[in-house]
Amino acid sequence: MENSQGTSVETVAVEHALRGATPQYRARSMLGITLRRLARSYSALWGLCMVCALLLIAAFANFIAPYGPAQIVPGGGSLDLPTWAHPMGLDLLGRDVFSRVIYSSRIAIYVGIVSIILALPGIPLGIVAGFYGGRLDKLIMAVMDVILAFPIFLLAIVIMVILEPSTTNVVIALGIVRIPIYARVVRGSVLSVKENEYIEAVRALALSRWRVLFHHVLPNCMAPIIITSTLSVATAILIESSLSFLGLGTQPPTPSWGWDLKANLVFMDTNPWIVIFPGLAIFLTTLACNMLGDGLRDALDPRLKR
Amino acid sequence: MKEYISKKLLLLIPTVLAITLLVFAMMRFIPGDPIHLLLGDMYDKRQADELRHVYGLDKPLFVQYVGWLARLAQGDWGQSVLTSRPVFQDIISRLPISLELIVLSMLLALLIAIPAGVISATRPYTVFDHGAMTVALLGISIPDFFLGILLFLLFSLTLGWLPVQGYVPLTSSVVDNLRHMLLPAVALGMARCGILTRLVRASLLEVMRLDYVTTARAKGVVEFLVINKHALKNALIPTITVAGLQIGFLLGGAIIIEAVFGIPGVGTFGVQGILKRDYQQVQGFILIVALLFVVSNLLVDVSYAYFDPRIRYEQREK
Repeated sequence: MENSQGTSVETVAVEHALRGATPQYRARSMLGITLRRLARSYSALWGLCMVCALLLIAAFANFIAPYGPAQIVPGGGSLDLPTWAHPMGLDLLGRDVFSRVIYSSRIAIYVGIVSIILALPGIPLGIVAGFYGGRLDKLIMAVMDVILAFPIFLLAIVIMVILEPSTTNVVIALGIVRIPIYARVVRGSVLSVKENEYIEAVRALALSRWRVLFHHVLPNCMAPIIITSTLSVATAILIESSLSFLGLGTQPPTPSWGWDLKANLVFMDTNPWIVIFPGLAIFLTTLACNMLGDGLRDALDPRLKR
Repeated sequence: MKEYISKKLLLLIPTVLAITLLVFAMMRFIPGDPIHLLLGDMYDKRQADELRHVYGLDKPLFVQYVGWLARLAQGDWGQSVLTSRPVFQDIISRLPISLELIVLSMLLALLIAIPAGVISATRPYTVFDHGAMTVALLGISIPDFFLGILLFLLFSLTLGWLPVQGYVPLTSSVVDNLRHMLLPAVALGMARCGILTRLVRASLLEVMRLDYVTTARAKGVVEFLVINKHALKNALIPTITVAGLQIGFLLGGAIIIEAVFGIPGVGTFGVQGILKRDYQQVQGFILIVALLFVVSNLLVDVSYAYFDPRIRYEQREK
């Protein structure tokens, strides 16, 4: 009996059963289990809340920040200590530090997310390397190892020397540097899944290779990909602020935590708060991503399956 | 053991060559023609062509590369446009300073991480364990330059216990040198310490479940020795791996910490070069950092052989 797509009904049913998606299991979807386990950890929940808060702040920066990032506060003042009117004080040019910190969150999110997206080509590379093996695997991994052989920060600096310093180029640099990491992680998953018998079973049903890859192999790689992504966002934000601190990242007038830290550093004895707050922002963002990543890692750990 | 080391040393050569190739390519990719930069407003095509010939820039790329490589090997790493001093000299004089910072940071990280990890693993889920893991998480999340700034704010500006900036060579005064290096080393080492503490705890917990540990206890070995001699040696293997990988992050972090604390090391040298577009300095900086990385990886691989006798015996069987 064949349906319109040319696969027999029996094949589809068997495949469906193998995927464990039959009706009585639907209530226990992977997402449901994960979220429930995530909710058991306080730090993970905190991390999730903080990340959501960050996303909201970045999205609604216009409404939250009292002044623009480059706006010089009316009434003058320079290097003022925090007051109720300016909770984080004023910088040298008289700009409200609180507003700048709020607007800088946009850059952080942009860098974090876009650098991950740029690194996504690592996933198909890893899948191909793991699935096909042999010389293709060795070739791909050799190229990845060459990139991984350099310290990430150094590689980022080298790329920034070649390209002009700007936020976009920082994102490109971070993306390139991250591709081998994804490839490695995904390849590891694929290798471990490949040996599973159900893959043999599915292939024995003569399904096309693509179907096997996308519907069966890929879902098993999702866990390490998600964990790596979350932790990578943290690293990306750290590296971007380090580069901006050195003057190699985001350039003024775009507000960035790292740049503000550097610019205000010389005035530390007059007003240490304008240095502390941007740094605290970086710290809390990274902390949130790390806590979420840790929580996800524990929730998605296959060894803890019932 | 000797075979293992010599094999690793042999692998060093293609790695170093690859690094030089990358640096050479990088120098060529930088936008802007150096001859244009040199002549500026007085650019004249004939003169430019002459200069190109003098500098060997009209030769095929491969020939340029080999010539450059030969000069590198002889110690001619170019001359800094800013300081007009040979780059090699500057790097050699600054290298010990950076090395001291890196070694101190790693030592500090290990000295704290290993005991803390062991105590956490032997008393899991207690107050100490939770506290240590929290501190570790905080250490991983805080940017090292921010930690440096905070420590500096607290200990130098507010309390005045430690000096504000600068560096005192070891040869003049060990105490002063350490006083200057303490905050930078702590700032740099804390993130590594966090990662290593978590790792020591996790690997030790795994190892302690193994049968041979139970055997040791059954034999009546003192608990202290069971953990610290038998279990720890195996638990340290992944720790050494990760510590080796962390050296890369340390090298990167050292660049920033040197900038924050005004330590005249290789890092500040490189950053100055980058900001002032002095490409000879940048080239020297990248070369030395990459070489340091490769050498440290080699040392880590060799120390593997000490910690994991299986590697030594594998080689012998072959």
